[in-house]
Amino acid sequence: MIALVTVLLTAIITLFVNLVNTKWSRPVATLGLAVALGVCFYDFSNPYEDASEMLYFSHASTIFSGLTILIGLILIGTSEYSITYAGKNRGDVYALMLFSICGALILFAYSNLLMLFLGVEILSIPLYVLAGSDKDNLASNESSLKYFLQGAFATGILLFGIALVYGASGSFFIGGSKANNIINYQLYSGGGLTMFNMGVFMMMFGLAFKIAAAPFHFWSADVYEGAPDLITSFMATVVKTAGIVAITIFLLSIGFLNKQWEMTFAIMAGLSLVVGNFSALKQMSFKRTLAYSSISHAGYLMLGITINDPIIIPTLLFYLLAYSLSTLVLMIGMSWVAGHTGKHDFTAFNGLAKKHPILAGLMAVAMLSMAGLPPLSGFFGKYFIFAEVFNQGALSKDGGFWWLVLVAAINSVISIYYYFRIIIAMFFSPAISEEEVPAMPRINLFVLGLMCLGLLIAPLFATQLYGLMFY
Amino acid sequence: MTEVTAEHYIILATTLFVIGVAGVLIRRNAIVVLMCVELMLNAVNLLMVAFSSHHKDSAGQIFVFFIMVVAAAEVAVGLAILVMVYRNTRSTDVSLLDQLKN
Amino acid sequence: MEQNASYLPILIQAAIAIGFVGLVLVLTHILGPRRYSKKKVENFECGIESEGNARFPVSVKYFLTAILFVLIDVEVIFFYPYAVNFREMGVQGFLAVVMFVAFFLVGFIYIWKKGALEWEK
Repeated sequence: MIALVTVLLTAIITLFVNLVNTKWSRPVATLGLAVALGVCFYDFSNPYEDASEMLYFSHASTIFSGLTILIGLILIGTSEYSITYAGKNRGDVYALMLFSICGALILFAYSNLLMLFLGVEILSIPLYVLAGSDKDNLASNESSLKYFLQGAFATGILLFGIALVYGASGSFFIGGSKANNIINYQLYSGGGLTMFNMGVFMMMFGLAFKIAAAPFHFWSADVYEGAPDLITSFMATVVKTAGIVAITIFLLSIGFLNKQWEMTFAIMAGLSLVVGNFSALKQMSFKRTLAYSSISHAGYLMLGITINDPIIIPTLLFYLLAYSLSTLVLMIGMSWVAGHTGKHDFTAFNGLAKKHPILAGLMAVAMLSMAGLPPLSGFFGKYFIFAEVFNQGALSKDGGFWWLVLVAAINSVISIYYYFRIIIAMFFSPAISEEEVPAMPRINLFVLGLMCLGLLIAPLFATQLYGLMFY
Repeated sequence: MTEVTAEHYIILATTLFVIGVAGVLIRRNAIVVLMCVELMLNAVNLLMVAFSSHHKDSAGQIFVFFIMVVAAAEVAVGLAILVMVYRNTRSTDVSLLDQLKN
Repeated sequence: MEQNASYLPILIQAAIAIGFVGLVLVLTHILGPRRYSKKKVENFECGIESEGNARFPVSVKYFLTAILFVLIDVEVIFFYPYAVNFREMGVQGFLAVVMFVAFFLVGFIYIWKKGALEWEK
């Protein structure tokens, strides 16, 4: 709770600092996020539930908040060069990112559908602006307009779903055992359950859109490609995390009704995996490949959600941690290279390993983690999800979703192909040196190194992480 | 003369909503699409108020306030984006925007 | 919708309204004299010569002011529930509203300092 307030205040202070001196906005935003990250530890030992039943900051939601604030800290901290497009308005860009993080923190802790709606909007509205923050770049404009129109459409559907759920139940509250939550619904005379299910379906439509899960993924490749690199990395990590957690909280809260949704989720997960991976195979642009790969990662996460049990939350956290860290390393690396060569194609990375072996090495580690190769976090993230789904399947009569795990495993093998293209470009292709890429600043390289180290050692602490969640 | 029940409101709101959805899917002018989105949101408002009255619970009406305010913020941002796009392309036609293609 | 509302009077009123409009339209069509001239087909015939087209782009300054107005105007909506209940809500409600207004002031100062309200740039 206090972390949320800290982030909000940081955003406002950043806005005003930017008016005085643009140069100070990045240090101020970074410092504020660092403080917020520290405050998360305090929040963790003091779970907070407000009296009006709107927000509930549990241990799990505080941990997710910490992850999101960490992502924001890394992104804003290393953005000295990736922000230059914004000129004098860079403080506004940081402030909008911070506001967006506030939305994400609300989504981790909502216990009322009103807060779900507000969280989604606080998360999205700054992002519509951010996607178009490179004002004179037509691609950025287009990305912004597309994101806005389709995002607003999805919001409308989400709201209609909420209205139907409210109609069927007479409540917006989703918290546990209280008498007035949406499960203990006073059935609306005639067709109440149908209406409830219809509402849940439309809410899932709206939320699946936010995390770019197939078949609601059509916007994501264009938006990710057109938006400035800094914003793309933000969308791929923070928004995905917030959306997945929001869906999970809602589905867990409707408990027994969830049974009917498992199949829907299984199909969506399968579609996301297949569509994301096969579209990524034929891309020329590295950024676009990452966009499609993020669709397939949404697939793995949805696969986790098919388990109708809170036990999946730490597993999702671990996966999101691995996914976010490796995405950040790749995006920051790509942003550096693309910022100096002016293009996001695979060919821009040709021969990078010769000139900048450390950067290329770190990006390769992140790539291997994304592809899910054994010693790295990416592998364990997938492994934990697969294991949970298998366990769940073993317990149920019909075997659960073992076939989906098979699909996912095959897809993760396929994905190795396009993840290795960048490694081949960096290490084995001769350089086409039209533009010289200078060496990355030491401090940024150090942060990338820390993240890669995190990817290496995170599996060792997985058990402790699981313990924290249910502490 | 029959009584006006919640069903009537559901039908009316759903009709408005479907008109809005159809507009978003069919129309190519960004401003018209924006208006259709607003129609969708207003259909939701109507439905919320109807259910609020049906359940004799004021939470639904408070929710409507929030929807209206957020919709205003969304429109402000959307129109600003449209003006930005218009400055660069001299058009608000969505189908003209095809920079980002594979 | 709980009370058994009868909508007959409204129907009758609607029928009368539509009927009157239809009647007047038909009557003027039949009775009125017809002359066609250049002046007649103009958009406005109030004496002042019309100039140019109504659909010309308006300066973006108007747009920015209008948008800021809409934003701040709509937020006033939250004062309605407070105005109805302000006795029951007591000090806590008052503080909440003060916080709300404070956030608004911060936003207002921001757009002011940013120069969005300067007409001449």
